[in-house]
Amino acid sequence: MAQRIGRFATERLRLHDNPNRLRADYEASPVYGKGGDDSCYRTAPPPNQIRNGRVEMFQAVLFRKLDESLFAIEDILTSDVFGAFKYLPADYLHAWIAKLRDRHPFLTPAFRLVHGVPDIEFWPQFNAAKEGAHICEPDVVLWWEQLAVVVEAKRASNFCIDQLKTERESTQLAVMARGLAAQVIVVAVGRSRPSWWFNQRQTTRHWLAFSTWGTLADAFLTTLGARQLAGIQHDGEIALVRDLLVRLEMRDIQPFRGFKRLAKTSLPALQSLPFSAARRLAGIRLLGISPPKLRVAEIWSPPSRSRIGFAPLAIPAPTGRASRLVARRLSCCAHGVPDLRQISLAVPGPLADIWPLDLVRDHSSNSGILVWKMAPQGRLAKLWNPPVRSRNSIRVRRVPMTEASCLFWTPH
Amino acid sequence: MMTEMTIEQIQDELRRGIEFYKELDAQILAFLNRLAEVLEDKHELGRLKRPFAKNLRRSSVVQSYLLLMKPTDAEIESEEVDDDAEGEEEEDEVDTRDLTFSPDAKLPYVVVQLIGKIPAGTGGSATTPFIQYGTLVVTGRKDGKELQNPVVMRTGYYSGVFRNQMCNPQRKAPYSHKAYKGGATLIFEEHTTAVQPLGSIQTDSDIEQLAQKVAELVGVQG
Repeated sequence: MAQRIGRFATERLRLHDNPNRLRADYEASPVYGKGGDDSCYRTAPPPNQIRNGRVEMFQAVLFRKLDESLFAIEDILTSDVFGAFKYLPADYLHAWIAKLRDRHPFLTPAFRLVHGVPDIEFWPQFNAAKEGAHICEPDVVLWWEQLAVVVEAKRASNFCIDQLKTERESTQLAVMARGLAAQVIVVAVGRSRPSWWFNQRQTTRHWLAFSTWGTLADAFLTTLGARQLAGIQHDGEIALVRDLLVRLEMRDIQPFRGFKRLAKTSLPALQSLPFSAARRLAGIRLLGISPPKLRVAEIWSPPSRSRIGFAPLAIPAPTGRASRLVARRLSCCAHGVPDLRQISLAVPGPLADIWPLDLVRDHSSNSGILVWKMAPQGRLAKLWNPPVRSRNSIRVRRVPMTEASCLFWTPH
Repeated sequence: MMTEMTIEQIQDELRRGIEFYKELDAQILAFLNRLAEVLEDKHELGRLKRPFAKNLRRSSVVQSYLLLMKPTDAEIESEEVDDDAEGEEEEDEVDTRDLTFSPDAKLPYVVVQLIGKIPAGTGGSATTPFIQYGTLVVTGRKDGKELQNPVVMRTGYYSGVFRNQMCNPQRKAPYSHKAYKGGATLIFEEHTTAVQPLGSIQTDSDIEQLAQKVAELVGVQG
């Protein structure tokens, strides 16, 4: 098994045992993390979640306190994902419907009937339209005024055409029994299409759609991102979506986030490690995209006429002209030395022979010195005068990593 | 230059490396899954099996990621799969099924290569890592006898063709592969192929554009 899915996939699966770790990944993501309202996660969940007792069960599943083998996996997934639609704004559901509408041109007119918030019915029991059967129980039915969307969820792809037909016909009977005039569509949600899909497409394309769990994860992620950008996210919404995505990731269902974030991430300087395998990895270039070259001026903009308190200078974006340099923090830090301003740079690898760090003349010139901490607190053992006059850049030569991991900028 | 590092530093570096490749691995598979969805929905180009990763050669830690589609106009032996079965078990079942296709069918593929050179005669341009997509065709039998019609092949051997081609860069075309145990050894050749950088895929619309290109190259209608 391990060989089949590959080393890193195995590692990823192993990490699923630690939901906090996965949650930390999402916290670090640009969508939720720094720009998002992180405090939401620590706040109490919305009252409606507490009222339904959903949070307790959700967390129990998330932290593996519940023996999932006692339940059908498809039911748990259905509960998690479609249950979330019940508590989240309708934008999330509409985003998923929009994806379905886009991918199934024959169903576009029907999906256009989606307006507003639907009634969501879980595992309803309808009179079966099939002879010999008494009850038909689809997983979820989304009731809009003019449209009923029947969801049949499977973990894998073992959909049965007869079952889907029966669910559609039974729901049509229920629509008539309730005195509605709604069209009925069935959406099969699973890992991949069943093998009969293409052979039956001519007869099913007007009433049957398909969605993967991954498409649902995409809809959650993109909708949250859009709402955060618009500044209209609610309290608890971020936490709920984040937990849901962690939950899906535990089932190996990933949203697609693009490769941009990875392109910006600095690849660890593995060539310095004494492992041949790691060295081979280091030969991979970062997605063919060079990290942007940032100058210190772009990550550091000291407030005018102020010597202290420039804490909001931190930019989580990757910086540096090489993949070996990451600016972690830029903040004011006294460290017992008056007027000491700290540029804290985490250097994730041995510093190269030459580490170019461009400075802007206005802020550097003779008004500052760059020092690095080698000695006990309070005694800045080494002062170094940057040759800014000549080339407007600073070069640190042969500085061991441990010493270079804390660099201080001090007013001179 | 080897620099002295502490154990903690090495551990930290390794942890970061694992995190990076974990994310890369997940995103490549997510990308290939989305691509497969679009190909199925909009171009009716069905996948043979789930996208999967294979190590480049035996000792390498670097993986290639393959999305194999069914040969054009192919039929696959269908079997019901247990709903609770995890992916890998299901994959094993897929590998034992028979695949039937005509000798002039095209065998479409999409591969993400993290390292390696761009094959000669390829359309497009890219640097590593890159996406390579195209089709193979069966050109004959190694023993020179006439090709049987239709070609029957185990899906596992079908995957083997691509593994040999993609995950073993030292192999040169034409590629030969035994279609099934006791069967004839078939010769495959690259029909058409193109590349583009992996970094060019950022959004859903990029995936849809790529799906369009794949469909055009395979020659299926959108």
